[in-house]
Amino acid sequence: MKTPREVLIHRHDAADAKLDALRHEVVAQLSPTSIARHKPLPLHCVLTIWRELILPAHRIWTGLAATWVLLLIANTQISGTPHATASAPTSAPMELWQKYQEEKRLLAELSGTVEIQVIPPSIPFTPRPRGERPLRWKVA
Amino acid sequence: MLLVAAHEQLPVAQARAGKSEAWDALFRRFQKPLYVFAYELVHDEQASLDIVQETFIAATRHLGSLRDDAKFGSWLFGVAHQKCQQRWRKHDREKEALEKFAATPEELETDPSDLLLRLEQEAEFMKLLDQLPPPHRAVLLLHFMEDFSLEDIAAVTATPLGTVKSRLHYAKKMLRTLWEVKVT
Repeated sequence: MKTPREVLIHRHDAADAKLDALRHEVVAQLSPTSIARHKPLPLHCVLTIWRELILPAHRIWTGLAATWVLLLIANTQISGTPHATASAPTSAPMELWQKYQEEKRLLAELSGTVEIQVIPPSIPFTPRPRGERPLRWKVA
Repeated sequence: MLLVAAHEQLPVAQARAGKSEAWDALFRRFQKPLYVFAYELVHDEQASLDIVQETFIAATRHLGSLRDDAKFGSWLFGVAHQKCQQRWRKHDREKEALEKFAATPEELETDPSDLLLRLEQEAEFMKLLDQLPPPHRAVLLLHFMEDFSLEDIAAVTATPLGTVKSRLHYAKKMLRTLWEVKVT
């Protein structure tokens, strides 16, 4: 007399040799990279975070991500024009001034009019160390 | 050499630590039940061997996803069940069987695993088992082979507990009915 389990197990005794061979093959192929414990720590952390934090509330995270993307797009579109205009004068004012002068001279030559004296731009005030100030200031 | 006894502590922690001896012991413990489970579901020797091999490889790669070491057995059968399901889908037999046997669960009857089979009854029992639809056969095999709890079988087959109760009930009922018809 046998239990159903015994009947089932003994019915497949012929497969034992193949199963043993299969097991040896799988165990032999176990390399350090294929074993779960050798999974790199950052990858393991990312997978854990994904499984524990993201997956349980994936809809909320998707909604938040979509909102952030929309905000980013809106922010880029709104602030795109002022950035372009604001950065121009501060980038190279002297070059712009020289270009302006050249164009003005070229226009005067082409039109045959007298060249207009252009006042050069004043040198911007740059503060200097106290030691480099004129002597009279020190005397005073 | 690591030794494994049924329903005792399995060297899952050692396997997690990468000891090939531990893997060998675990695979030796489960290779035959897994093969029987797969074979009785797919009825193909080579396919069953492939399923066992794929299950072992998947276990070595994804052991990190197992939270409770005590659930290693049911987790391994869960992987094997998924592989079997992939083959079922190819043959498109599960859907037909599910439609045929959709019903509400009732109180479980006496346990057929308690029944003892005489030598001349063994072949009949196997024939009857083969007549069960695959999802019901899977539940009954898990019950017979590893004596898993209903919760464990639900986890292995990825089905609700009520469905497992229903399937087990109808599998037992059908087996009993077929048995009585054969005997009379």
